[in-house]
Amino acid sequence: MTEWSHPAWPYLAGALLVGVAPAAARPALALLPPALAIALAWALPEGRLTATIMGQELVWARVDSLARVFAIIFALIGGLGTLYGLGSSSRRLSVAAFVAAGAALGIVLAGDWVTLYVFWETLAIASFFIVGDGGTTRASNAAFRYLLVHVAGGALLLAGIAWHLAGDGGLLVGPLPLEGPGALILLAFAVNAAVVPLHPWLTDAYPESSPAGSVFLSAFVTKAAVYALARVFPGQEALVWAGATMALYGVIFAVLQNDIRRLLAYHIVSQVGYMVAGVGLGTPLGINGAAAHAFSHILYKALLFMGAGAVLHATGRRRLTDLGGLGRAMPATFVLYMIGALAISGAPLLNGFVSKSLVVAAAEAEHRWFIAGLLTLASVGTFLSVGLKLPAATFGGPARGLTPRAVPATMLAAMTLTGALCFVTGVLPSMLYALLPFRVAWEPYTADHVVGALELLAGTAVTFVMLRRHLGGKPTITLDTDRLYRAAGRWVGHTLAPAIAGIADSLEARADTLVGLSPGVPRHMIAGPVGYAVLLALLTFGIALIALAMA
Amino acid sequence: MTRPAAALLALTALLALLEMALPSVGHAPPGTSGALGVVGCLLLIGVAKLLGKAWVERQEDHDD
Repeated sequence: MTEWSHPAWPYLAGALLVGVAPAAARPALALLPPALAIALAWALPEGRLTATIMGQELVWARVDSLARVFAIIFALIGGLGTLYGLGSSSRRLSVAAFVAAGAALGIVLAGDWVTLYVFWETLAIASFFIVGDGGTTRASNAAFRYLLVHVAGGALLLAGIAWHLAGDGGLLVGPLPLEGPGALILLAFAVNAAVVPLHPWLTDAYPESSPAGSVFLSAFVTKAAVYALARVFPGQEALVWAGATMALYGVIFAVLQNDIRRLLAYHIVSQVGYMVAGVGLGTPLGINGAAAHAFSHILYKALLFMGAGAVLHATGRRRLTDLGGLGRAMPATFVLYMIGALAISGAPLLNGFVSKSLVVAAAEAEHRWFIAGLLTLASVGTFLSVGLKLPAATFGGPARGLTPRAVPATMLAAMTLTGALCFVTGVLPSMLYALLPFRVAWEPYTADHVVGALELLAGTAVTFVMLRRHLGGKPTITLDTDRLYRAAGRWVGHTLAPAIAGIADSLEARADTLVGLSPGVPRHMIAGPVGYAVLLALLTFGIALIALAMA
Repeated sequence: MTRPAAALLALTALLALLEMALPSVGHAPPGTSGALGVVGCLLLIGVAKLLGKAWVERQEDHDD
């Protein structure tokens, strides 16, 4: 008899519940699934849940300490995000967010490749709807680009899994060599982890969602991919360099951003870089660092997106050039944002100080001084953009005649709780350590380490203050590697999709003639979404077939 | 140098002095972190501005 339940169930059942519940009852019902999921995740014992489908025994839940730490934080952030959007979330966002939370839990607890793939794709589709919740044309376009990238990534994963299984690979998810199917699976994981140069779907999509939508987005996809990397590819040297590159790339591009949520999105790329580097190091300290940093990052990044979302909610503005002087009008938001900003910057007493130290210490323990130096340099850039540039231009500086509307109490309550968790796990790192996969002997609060961290922040602030007039917002955007697939997308949209739709049209006309009916479907319906859907399906199956043929 | 910048620089120097007096378990000499903060920040801003001007920065209506 099974004595425990999968924490994804409350979220998946909750998605149905909030999908059909009357609007008035939705806020009261919305907190029940997260509460239940948190309780289930916290109580997860080591073990497995299995089911036999078509003669195959699927391990749809496999709990160990690595899976459990991710399950707890995913369950938790689903609840905090729900509280944040309680008064403002659309029904569509509530449903999609619950499905995304359930799928993320499904990924980290999946014991076999089939279960992992199903939840992987479910998360992609749910996230597509969350991006689209921004409700603007830009959000719709970004959501569609998001879907295209993740369908391609999903196709790679499917192809890799098919190849792996066809080659008598085991059904259980576990370490793979970096060759053949392993290379395809690594590439699929790298897409979701936003490894440079596969990252721009993130900085394209996350800033376009609604305020609450961005909070959910910031938590699930990249961290589920970090978990997958830690599970399947620990100790791969390529990941060390990929991680260090991400850490620096993100902070450099963040300096150039004018959109506050895009600036924060580039810092997701950077922070996930620390985790990827930790996984690449592959030592117990490195894996602990990756897991701890994922846990911390989900909290402080959610807090930062909550703060940026509160500014957007209150003013309707998101560009640094349109903001300024909000500190007096929105003091609570300012203070709570700064807790997140100092946490991500690695300031003592907050969780980022503890978890970032673990990753850097893991590099130092392996005498990887150059990697440790790059990660520390990235930390400088993090404080520069998130801790100094953004708040100085948004909450400080001259007022721009803005009269912000009140931020809902539920938003502030969610920010306060998230900030409190950043603080508690920062001052009591043993609480975080107790959840990690390996025993931790690392002590972050030594006098020289604390003073060194403060020195780094103070030194960064010196340069910022001296160059501040060059670091305000500019009414510009930046090009990134997404320009390549945007160009490909335009070609598909303008040339290939209409051609395929034309063929479908002609086949339909022939079929209609044969059965004596007049053509009933307008051509434009096929040329748009249906044409794209046909292309996506062809892409997915094409890659899977090629992989099978190679196996 | 502005007064806030001078104050922050003094704070950084003070922390470096404090570091000298502390028993160290690290590998870098005292003041390294402060110097990395100042110089690293300068470097990152320089690289970002150069990259922006030379290659990636466009007007906001670029995609319209």
